[in-house]
Amino acid sequence: MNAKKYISWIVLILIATLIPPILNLPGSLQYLLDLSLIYAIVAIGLNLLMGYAGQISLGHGAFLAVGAYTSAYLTLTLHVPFFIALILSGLITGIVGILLGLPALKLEGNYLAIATLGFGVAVTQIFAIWTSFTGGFSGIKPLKPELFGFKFNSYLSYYYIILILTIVLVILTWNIIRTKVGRSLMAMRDSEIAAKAMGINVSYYKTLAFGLSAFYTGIAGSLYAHLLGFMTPYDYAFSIGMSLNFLAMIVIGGIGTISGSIIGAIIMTWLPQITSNLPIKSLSQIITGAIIIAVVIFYPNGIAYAGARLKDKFEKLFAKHQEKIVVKIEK
Amino acid sequence: MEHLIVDNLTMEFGGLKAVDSLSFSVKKGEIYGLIGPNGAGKTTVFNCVSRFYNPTLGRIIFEGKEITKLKPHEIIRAGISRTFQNVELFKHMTVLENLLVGQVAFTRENILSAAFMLSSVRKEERRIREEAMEILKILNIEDKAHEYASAQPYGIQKLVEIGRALVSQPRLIMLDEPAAGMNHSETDELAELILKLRDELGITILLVEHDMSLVMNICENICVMNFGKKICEGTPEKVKSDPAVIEAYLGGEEIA
Repeated sequence: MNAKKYISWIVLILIATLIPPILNLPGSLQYLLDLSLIYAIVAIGLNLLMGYAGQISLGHGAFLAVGAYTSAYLTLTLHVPFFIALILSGLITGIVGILLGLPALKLEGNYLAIATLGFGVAVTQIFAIWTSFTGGFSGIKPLKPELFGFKFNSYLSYYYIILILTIVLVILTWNIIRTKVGRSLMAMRDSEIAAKAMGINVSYYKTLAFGLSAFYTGIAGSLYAHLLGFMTPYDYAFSIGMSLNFLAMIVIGGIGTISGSIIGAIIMTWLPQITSNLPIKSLSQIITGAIIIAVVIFYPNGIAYAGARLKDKFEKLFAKHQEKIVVKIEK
Repeated sequence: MEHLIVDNLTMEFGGLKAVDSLSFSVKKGEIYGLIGPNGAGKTTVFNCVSRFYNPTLGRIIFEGKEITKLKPHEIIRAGISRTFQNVELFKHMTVLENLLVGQVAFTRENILSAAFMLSSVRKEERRIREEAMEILKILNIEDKAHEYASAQPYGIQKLVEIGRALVSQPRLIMLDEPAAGMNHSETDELAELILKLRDELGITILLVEHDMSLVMNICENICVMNFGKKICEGTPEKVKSDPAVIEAYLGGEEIA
């Protein structure tokens, strides 16, 4: 990573840190900001699986549910401190991911999509019936997180926990993708046969990708549970619809990029909110859909690449302009 | 010394015998050619040695050890690496990254040490990058290191594939039609490169090739296959004058 990129990330972190208290957002919007970062963590995890490892999942809503309920159970019933519950939720969801990854070894493309879809439906149904763990219909109330006696009661204070975790996870992801594991995943995505010949155990890395992706989503699930304050297995975030939303996030933001995952998550969380203020109610969904289609048509690689393309165009324009000036002077 | 022994290898697909009781052996430091008309079963032999196919019968012995039971991803650690007939590069990775993938089997990083970028990982990453750049220099394509593999012309892609096979420091390298799609001068450069790999790096080379002049120029020994069977084996001179070989190639047309 070059110095320029470092600086832009630092600037981004500063903006993310300072803007919320300056804007002093109303609760509902601060909640949305918290939510968009949680979804960004899911999107990064999903992107590891889809963008880097080339596997598909339509069941990430279910992983989010596993993480959320694990964390709620650990803190409410077993009285485990929040941060330990957070890590454990990630690990346990990761194990569930590995278990899903094992049968997925035999499946590819569309079939894998269907299998993960089935997993997503099954988990929601199981959680609805498994009332001793989830509280079923009547729901449960996960506690607000606490650290050294400080209770993270407000959406703003909680925002900083989420932000720090997002930054840590981005750094870890960045390190993973540019070293051996990341290269192995990408190699497997581009040519499975050549990856094998290069000594990559494809089964191992496919399973690892599922586990890793589920780990991120489990962490996000834990954060989500403690953000909510009240949840049932019928929560939209655990549904198939949300799984498709996660997919939309990484496609819009940019498959195979970390920044794209974050951009996509923010857009997909805020866009419906912004358009919902329009006078006609159903217009919101239509406009959201239209924007998604437009992005996919005009920026098929995702918005993360749009910036680079714009920069290119400007530089070319600038170069042409300079040429003209040079020509004029020569004349 | 026999470096690679293919012993009575038979590979059946359904009822079809793609390779039929084939035996040959490659000496250490030798450039050995495997030739034959289309569909003779040459690539099938490669795929058996690199363990993509499980032979129906027979054994493959490398450096005195039977490798017929190894998994495909274990072959590179045994000391054998290969290229593919239809270039199989990692398209969305740079040329350098492609070469780095050739090193994964020999890198002792794991997901945790990498996630936290321990100093051992930094050191290892620096080492494999330097080694990959060395190989790119040998291939004379170090200026392409940071360009995407898919953006390279075909000839360069072929070289990148050879480079990727080289970074693992194999003792045997299998080249599947390296000259396919190359023009004359490129083929000449390739021949020089192959000789260099053997002479300077001491790598044994098993070559499948359609370009007869290349095979006849650089191979010490040749095995000619037709319909999965060996029809002739020996030096280029012997093979060239063998009636069965001439018969196999377009029913008698003289070769090279």
